[in-house]
Amino acid sequence: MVHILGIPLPDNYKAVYALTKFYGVGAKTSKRLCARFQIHDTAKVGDLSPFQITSLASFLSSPSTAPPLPRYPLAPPNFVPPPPNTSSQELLAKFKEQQAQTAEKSDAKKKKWADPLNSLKVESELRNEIRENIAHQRMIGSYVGRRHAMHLPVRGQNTQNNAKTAKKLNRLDRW
Amino acid sequence: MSLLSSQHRHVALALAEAGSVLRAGQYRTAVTRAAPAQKQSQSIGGVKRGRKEKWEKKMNQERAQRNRDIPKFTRYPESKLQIPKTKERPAILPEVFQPGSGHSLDLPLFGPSTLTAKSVGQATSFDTTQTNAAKVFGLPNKMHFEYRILSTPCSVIRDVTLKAIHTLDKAKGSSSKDHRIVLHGRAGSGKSFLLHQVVQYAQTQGWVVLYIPRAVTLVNSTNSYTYDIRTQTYLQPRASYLTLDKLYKANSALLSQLTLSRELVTEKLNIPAGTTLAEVAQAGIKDKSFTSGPVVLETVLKELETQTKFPVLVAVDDFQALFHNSAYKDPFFQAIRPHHLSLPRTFLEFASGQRTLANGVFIGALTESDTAYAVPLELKDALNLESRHPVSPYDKRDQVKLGYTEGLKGLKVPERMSTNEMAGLFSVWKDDMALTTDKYDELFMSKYVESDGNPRDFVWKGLLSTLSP
Repeated sequence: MVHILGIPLPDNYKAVYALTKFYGVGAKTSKRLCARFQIHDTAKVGDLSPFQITSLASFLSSPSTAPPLPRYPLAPPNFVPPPPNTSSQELLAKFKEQQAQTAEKSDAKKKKWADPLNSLKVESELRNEIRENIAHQRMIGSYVGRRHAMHLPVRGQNTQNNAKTAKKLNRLDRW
Repeated sequence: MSLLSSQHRHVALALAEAGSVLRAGQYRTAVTRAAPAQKQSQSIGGVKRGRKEKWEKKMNQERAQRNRDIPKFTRYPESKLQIPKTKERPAILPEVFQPGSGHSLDLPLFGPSTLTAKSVGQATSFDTTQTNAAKVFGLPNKMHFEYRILSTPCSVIRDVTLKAIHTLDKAKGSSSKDHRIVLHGRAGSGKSFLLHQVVQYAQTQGWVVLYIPRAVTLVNSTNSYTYDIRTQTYLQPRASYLTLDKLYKANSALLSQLTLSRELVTEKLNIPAGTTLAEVAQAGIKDKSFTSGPVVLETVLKELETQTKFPVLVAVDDFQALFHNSAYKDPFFQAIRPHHLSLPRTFLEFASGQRTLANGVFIGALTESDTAYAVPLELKDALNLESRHPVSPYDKRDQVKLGYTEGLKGLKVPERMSTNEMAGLFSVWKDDMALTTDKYDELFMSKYVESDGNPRDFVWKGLLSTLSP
């Protein structure tokens, strides 16, 4: 059993499903997260390497401050790889040099790819955002804010009967 | 209305059947359980006075009623409900219900002696030693299901079997560049069975065999993957490890006679030149973290490419799956191309002739039944396959994938089995007591016509699905 950001993820859960246990992560985001950390579709949480788990945890703790993804080269059909005794650190260093050179030369006007996961919010950050939104509505004196304060439905539902969920959950300090 | 509650009524009935009758009061204490603790509900936002208590009372009443109406034994785990073992009556099935109840087909063994023109239509069985390619590498799904039902794994010798075997014999000693064959034909016509027969024949003839029965598992995101900057591809550590392990198990005797020409030095391994390939494979298998799997497999395959002592057969079923964009996604959430995955790339390079076996053959078999990985346009072009819909020259063809189809030769598996071959197939199922009738001639002719000579339809939709008396 792994605990990431305080959420327990049982070992027998599939990783794609387990990641949806985070507040703010659904099926779509979970698939993107798995792709980012090279977790295949049928991987179980118990099969993940410690490196994958730590990188997942560090990413989810603050997605907006994650380093940008490097575009590693992919072998064309006629590629001949260097021998197995070549150090991978050497090759990585070479790659980073090349990246730095191309970054200098690249056109500043070119639009950079916007990683959807950079704007991801999970757990406490998301709850704070929701609380701020409700507080803002109340502060500006809007109808939405008033309804939250009265624990009544906000989006125009009937209240003659059936407003049970709103009466139970709608409040100003919701999270 | 009985004076007893519903739960007590159930127990009373059971006991009455057993022959013992008890008064209601006698088992009330034994059967009832302690009432569960009253659950406190939380209301947020406030409700009318007194309603919260009413809800709680109602919910607890409902819970108690639900539990009372269901008999207790439905909540027992299965292990508690099993018949207890005693000395006189051990908890094992009677022999009649044991699988493989002593009956087995008595068929000649598949081999050079049974692969003659006379034996077309004769069913032959495969040996069941631990190093048999089918046991080590596994089988395609549908073949596996069929062999699970049959008492002995067997298949019928066909004309096309002899043709394929003849091609294999001719190709022995020459480079695989001239012998890259793809088996194609209608769904259910026997491509996988034929490929399996070729693999079995090669093993009996002393070939080094690498058989991939389900290549779709390499591209459907069911194995781990990790980017490697040296090869600039995504390695598949577990899949490579398993392939290496199987290659070693099926060919350990032959691999121990081949040696490494150049030393292998990696971060974890240091294997000197001159070590036998069997020992090299074992070094890769010893590392249970799978990290050495890909590099050791590559080294062993490179040695097998250059050596000419033993002919090598690389057989890949589900070959068309290697021409589809895989289900794997890169960090940018784009599908990974097959030639950017280590194992599919290896087999594509063998298929296209970019990598050649100095002494060997590459054979692939298509699967027409998989709708997720259908035969792509590039393969259809290369092998001149028929298409259900009109193919336009303006339909997009991937140039890289087209490049990997260069030089492939197709071997068509006939759509229909001849009556001779079909009779052999029929007799397998008849002798294995799978038929529901004894009117063999009628059944054979009717199902042969209904299935149009297609072997899979004949067996599965004809013989095994018929209710004819």
